[in-house]
Amino acid sequence: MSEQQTVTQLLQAWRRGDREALDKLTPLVYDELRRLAERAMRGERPDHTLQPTALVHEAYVRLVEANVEWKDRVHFMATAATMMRRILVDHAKSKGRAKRGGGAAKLTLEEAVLVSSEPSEDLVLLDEALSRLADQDERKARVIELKYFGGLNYDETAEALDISASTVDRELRMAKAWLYRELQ
Amino acid sequence: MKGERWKRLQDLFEQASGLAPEKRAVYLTEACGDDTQLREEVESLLSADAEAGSFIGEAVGDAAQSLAASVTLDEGSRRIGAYQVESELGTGGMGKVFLAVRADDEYRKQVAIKLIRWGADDDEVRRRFLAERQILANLDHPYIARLLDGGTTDDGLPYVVMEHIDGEPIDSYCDNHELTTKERLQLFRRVCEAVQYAHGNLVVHRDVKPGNILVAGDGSPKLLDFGIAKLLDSESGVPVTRTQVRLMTPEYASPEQVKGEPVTTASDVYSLGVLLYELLTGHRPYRIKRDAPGEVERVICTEEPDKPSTAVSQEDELPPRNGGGPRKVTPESVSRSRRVTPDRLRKQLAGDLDNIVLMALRKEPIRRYASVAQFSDDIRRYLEGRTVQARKDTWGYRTSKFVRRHKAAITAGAAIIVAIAGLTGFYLNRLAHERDNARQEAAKAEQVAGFLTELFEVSDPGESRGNEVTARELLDRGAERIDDELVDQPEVRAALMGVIGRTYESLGLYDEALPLHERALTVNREIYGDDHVEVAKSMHDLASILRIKGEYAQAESLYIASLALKREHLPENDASTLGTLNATGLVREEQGDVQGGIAILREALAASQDLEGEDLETKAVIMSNLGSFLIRSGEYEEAEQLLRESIALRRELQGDDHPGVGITMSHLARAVNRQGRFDEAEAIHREQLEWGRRVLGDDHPNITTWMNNLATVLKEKGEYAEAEMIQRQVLERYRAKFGDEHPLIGMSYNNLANLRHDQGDFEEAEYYHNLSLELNRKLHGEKHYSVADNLNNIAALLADKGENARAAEYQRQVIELDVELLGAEHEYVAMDYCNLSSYLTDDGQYPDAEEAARKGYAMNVQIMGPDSPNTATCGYVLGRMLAKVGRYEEAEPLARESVRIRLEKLPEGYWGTGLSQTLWGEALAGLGRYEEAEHQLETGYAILLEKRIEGDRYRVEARERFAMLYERWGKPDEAAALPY
Repeated sequence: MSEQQTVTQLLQAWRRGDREALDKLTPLVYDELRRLAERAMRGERPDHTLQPTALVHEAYVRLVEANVEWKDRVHFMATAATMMRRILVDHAKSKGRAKRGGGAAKLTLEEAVLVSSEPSEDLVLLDEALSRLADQDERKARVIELKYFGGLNYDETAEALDISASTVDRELRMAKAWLYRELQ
Repeated sequence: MKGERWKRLQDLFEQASGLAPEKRAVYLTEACGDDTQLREEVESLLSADAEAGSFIGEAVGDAAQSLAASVTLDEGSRRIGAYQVESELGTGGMGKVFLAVRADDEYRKQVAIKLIRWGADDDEVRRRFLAERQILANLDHPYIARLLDGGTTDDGLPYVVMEHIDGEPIDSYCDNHELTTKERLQLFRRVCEAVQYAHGNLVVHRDVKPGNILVAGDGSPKLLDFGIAKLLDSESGVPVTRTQVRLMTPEYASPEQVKGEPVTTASDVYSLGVLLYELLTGHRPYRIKRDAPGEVERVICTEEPDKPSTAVSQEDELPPRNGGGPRKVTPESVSRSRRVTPDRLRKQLAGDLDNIVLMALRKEPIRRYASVAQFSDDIRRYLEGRTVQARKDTWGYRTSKFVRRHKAAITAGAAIIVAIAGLTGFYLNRLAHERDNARQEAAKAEQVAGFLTELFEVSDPGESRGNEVTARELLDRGAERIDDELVDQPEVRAALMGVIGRTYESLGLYDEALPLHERALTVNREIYGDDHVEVAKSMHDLASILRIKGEYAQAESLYIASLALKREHLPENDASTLGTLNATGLVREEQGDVQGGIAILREALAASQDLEGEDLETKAVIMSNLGSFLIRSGEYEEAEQLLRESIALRRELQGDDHPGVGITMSHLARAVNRQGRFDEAEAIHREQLEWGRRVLGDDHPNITTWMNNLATVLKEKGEYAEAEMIQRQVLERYRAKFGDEHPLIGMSYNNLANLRHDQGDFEEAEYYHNLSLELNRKLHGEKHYSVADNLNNIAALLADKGENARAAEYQRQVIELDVELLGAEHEYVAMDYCNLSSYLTDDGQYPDAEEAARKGYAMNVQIMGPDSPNTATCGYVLGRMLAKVGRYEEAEPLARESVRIRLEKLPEGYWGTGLSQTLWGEALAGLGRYEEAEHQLETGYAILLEKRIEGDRYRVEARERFAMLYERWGKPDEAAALPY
């Protein structure tokens, strides 16, 4: 079976309620995203701002068969959004660490601890704020994740979360304001 | 923020943001009234809304860009950090090892670099790796290969740089140089010295084997890879996974390592024992056929090794060393490389050396030498011809040894006189020593008191310039001043660190307490050496903090070490020793070994009978803890009795305001709750929370625990809204205190999931269950009661979703786990069978369902008694199954009994009682007793209508029963008229 067929079938199984399918799907998507990120990023386009959402779309094209249902496509992208967030946050954290420690130079224990508890990158702060938002209001956080890390549009987000597009709009606005205030 | 308030905030924000900016103020004034806090919230969100722009897109874009810049993966690179790779030394389970030189080093000194690939993707692994690496870098001992440096390669792989040792593995070194038994023992003691040094720095090697001990040209050993195995653990203190054990050489792994249990310093004692066995005999203690699965665990955990003196007479084929073929080992070859005859070698080993080696190899960690130092000391005693500890220390044995040492000079009679004189001298010495000690103690106490008084004088308004000083500030100030002011008085410094650390601990400030206790231990070791009761006390303090922070394995090994020292230096059954024994029991239970914990606490309780005066508090504590364990193992009545006794003793000793009273009350409430007396339990919980907030303050972690327990009782009573509100607060409070990865977070998720489940929100319930399961597996491994609890609850959830076959599958896993963890006959196992039966019934597998139900019912009657609530539940399950297949005659008495017990034991209006009544009604209807049936169904269904939500499967099932009665009775209109 091709990878495309595998992923497509897993997606369909997952929508039918098979949780194990999601467990199998996750590493496939995650690996593909990482690989794409590395490949895209090693390419020579220094003046081009890379959009992670483009990667999610690319991963989708590569992993899923063309004739798949729209609903399954949305679920794929929603999953990929979460993983994209993790990839970027992991990277931002490791970068924060490397900066403070000065690359390969020896770290003292205090620095190592400091770095892990106070990551300097904006994205890490955003990620933490997003987690706090999720604690307060899971759906708002998810709307942000889908839009900014997965590139889902209003209709897709509405489908993924089973809400109306106008609710997506309202949720997004308040979530953004809340996060912005939180990061001030 | 509470749900309602958040909702209100959202409504206001949406309304206001839809208005033109100038109209918002008027709207908000009207809408918020005098709730200024709410208004401020809305306004701050509105101004954030105006300014926010595209900050999220920017942050995400920047991170992606930076990821792009950092990816410079170059597989062909011959550089790692600042080092130039010269050649590859080998590949291990964790990654590759390279020989390298520092690129800017003109002397071109060679180093070994280990590049870690295993788990490098996991952020948590990397974080731990950095912290642990630093500890290893601090190990500075002539027999330990130095960790020189470390870092992360450009593509994010962690690596460590170590001193490169040009040497030979210790086993082949000994044979090639034909070291005698005595020389081997001396070399081995140097290895022990290095391991002991590391243990003193809280580092366990975890992979002691000949390949990790090289002997350099000058004959000195060098240990490699200290604690590296642990670096690969995603959580420090978490059991090594089976995969990792497979990475180890199985012959050197201790029983606890192959079982995946916590690895402690005792595990290194064991592996050293295997090493010594091999060095002395040329054989390994076990022969393991690697291919057979389960063989490793079986052999290491159950087989007793031959005595070394027996082993040397045997022939064997051993795996190759450094390449080459399998080695044939014969009595001749072994003795030749030790420069003796086979017969002589056997005699050398028989007796003391057999005992010493076998003591290190005992299956139970607690029965081995308490430390590597004791192990090594015993070898020293052997080498000096003195009494070794590895044998029972009987008088006859001591004398015979004494005589042998002086056999030329004295007769047996004279020996006894000399021995008595020696003992007297020993005691006189000891008394003098204790007098000195007492004087020192008094002086030390005076100084500590002086320091603290001075500290508290600052709270005098004059000194603190009118600012109020909190206890916390005083402590912080004290902690700072210790270093500046007491440089030349280390004893006082250490004592103060202990005092302040314990005070922080009692305030719940664990992060502040930890470093103080660590330093106190270090300072005490410097002052008193390793073998001293002050060191034991610091170990206990430090272990207590680690335990609270969930680092159970580390805590346990410290407690065990502390216990050994206390037993050696303090009078028998001293309260302090029993305190440590008690803590050892707690940490056992916390690692999932409830029965082990109970056994230790029963031992402690028995030993505490002679305590008196203030020491009785220790007894009260032990009773309270034992009571709480007995709740876990289902022995509620004994638990309740112990807990009530403990509370009474506490109140008598310390008055009502003592913290212990509150903790024990919470256990008592649980014991009462488990016996079905919910109202009484709720009252105890509320009283206790009120007490806690008054005495401890709202921030104290115990308050959180009690809130959790109150929520549990409210859930039992069906008061879900309040239960959930409290449970969510509990989760937040634990998160704030312990971070995201802590056993208590796993527990909170689980409780929250159950609450959502009970309210019909299966999706969110499943979400929280999976969070809990994932975290518990990560923290405890698979074989742990938390994991069993998770699986059990998930099964219930699946059943409610209609996935009965899967539910049964999960429940079978639970049975397997519970039988292994708790034994085949246990309250939980009994309930497991009932649950399984209920799922099988719903799946239509009636014969299997009946078998499971009968098994569970019988076990319940036997363990919990015929009138227990659990028996009622199981009776219901069996009755329901029988009614389903039309066996109403058999179902009726079971249903009736179930109703009777529930009416008697459970709160009025409990939904389960209603459910039992509808089953009874069904059975009666089946037997044609329609009027009696109608009465039961009416009463029962009314309760379910009130207590269960619409669409709930119990409610649906009850309605079906009711409707069926009217169908049979020929009253279809009545059936149709029944409410849903």
